[in-house]
Amino acid sequence: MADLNQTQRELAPEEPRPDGQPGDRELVERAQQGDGPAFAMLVERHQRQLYRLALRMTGSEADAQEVLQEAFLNAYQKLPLFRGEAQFSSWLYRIAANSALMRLRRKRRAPDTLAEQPLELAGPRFSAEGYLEPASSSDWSQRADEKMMSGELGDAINKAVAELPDDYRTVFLLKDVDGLSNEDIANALALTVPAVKSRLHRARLALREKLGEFFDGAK
Amino acid sequence: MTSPIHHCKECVDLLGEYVEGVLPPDRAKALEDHLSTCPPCITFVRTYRATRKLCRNALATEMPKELMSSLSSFLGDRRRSKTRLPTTDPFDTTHVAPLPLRGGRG
Ligand SMILES: [Zn+2]
Repeated sequence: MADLNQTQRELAPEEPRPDGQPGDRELVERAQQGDGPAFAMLVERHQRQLYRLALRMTGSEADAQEVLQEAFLNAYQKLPLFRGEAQFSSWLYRIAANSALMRLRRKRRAPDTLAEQPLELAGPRFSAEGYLEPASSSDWSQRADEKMMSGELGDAINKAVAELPDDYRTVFLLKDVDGLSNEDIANALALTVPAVKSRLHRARLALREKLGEFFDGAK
Repeated sequence: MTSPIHHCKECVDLLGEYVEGVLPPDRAKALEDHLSTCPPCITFVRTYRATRKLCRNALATEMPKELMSSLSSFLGDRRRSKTRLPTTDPFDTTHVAPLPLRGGRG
């Protein structure tokens, strides 16, 4: 029964896009039949998000550029193998993420994994009964608005984010800064959705602590 | 079915989904009930939200325009050097005809 529903959904017509342009599935089919402009349109449509993914994974603009070139070239060459039941964007994310990982490995900078790295991320402190300790609750959120774009704050944020373990940082940036969905992140990074959510939450908690320290020091 | 939240720790554990608006309604209600009696958690929610906002403002990035054009010429060059599909060059923008709009058909 579940399978039947699944099939019905896959065969349903593509949702119309708000901009009135053809959907990915239609463009992919046209590109598979040799329609070059259709593929160029897919590149145009997806390059920005793919760039963010590559940038967040490699941490360098130059690497991101090469990852993007490789990923789209790969996608173009593999296009005849692409099957319509998957989302084209998810398929692209996987290709780009693999390309970024290969690049990191070649540079001997494979991302840290939990197994290699005992994790001591900062987070709130609770009493034995499970109540927040007072130190966890100084309210700097109002001052955050005033100090919004100060250079020192920017430096503090960059430093705090850089200190996160690689996969926590990547998940956090992709979700909270770039706005990818949990599902897309999970797919690209070969994580489960619950693993994405848990890294995201712990990354935010750690960053919140660091920002709290920054504001306490800047009183 | 709604079980109340007594401890801040449970509240903090649910915050990620709460601020994204994806917490099931009964848990969101329980969380808000806890917030109404717990000033430290109110502060916590505020600073948790502010953390996301500050980071987004500081770190948001756009793909540079030059990179878009170098990507498209790179892909165009590679396509010209080994043609795989019988097609016009997808990255030669002089040949890109405007695509018909969906609404234009009927
Ligand atoms: Zn509380």
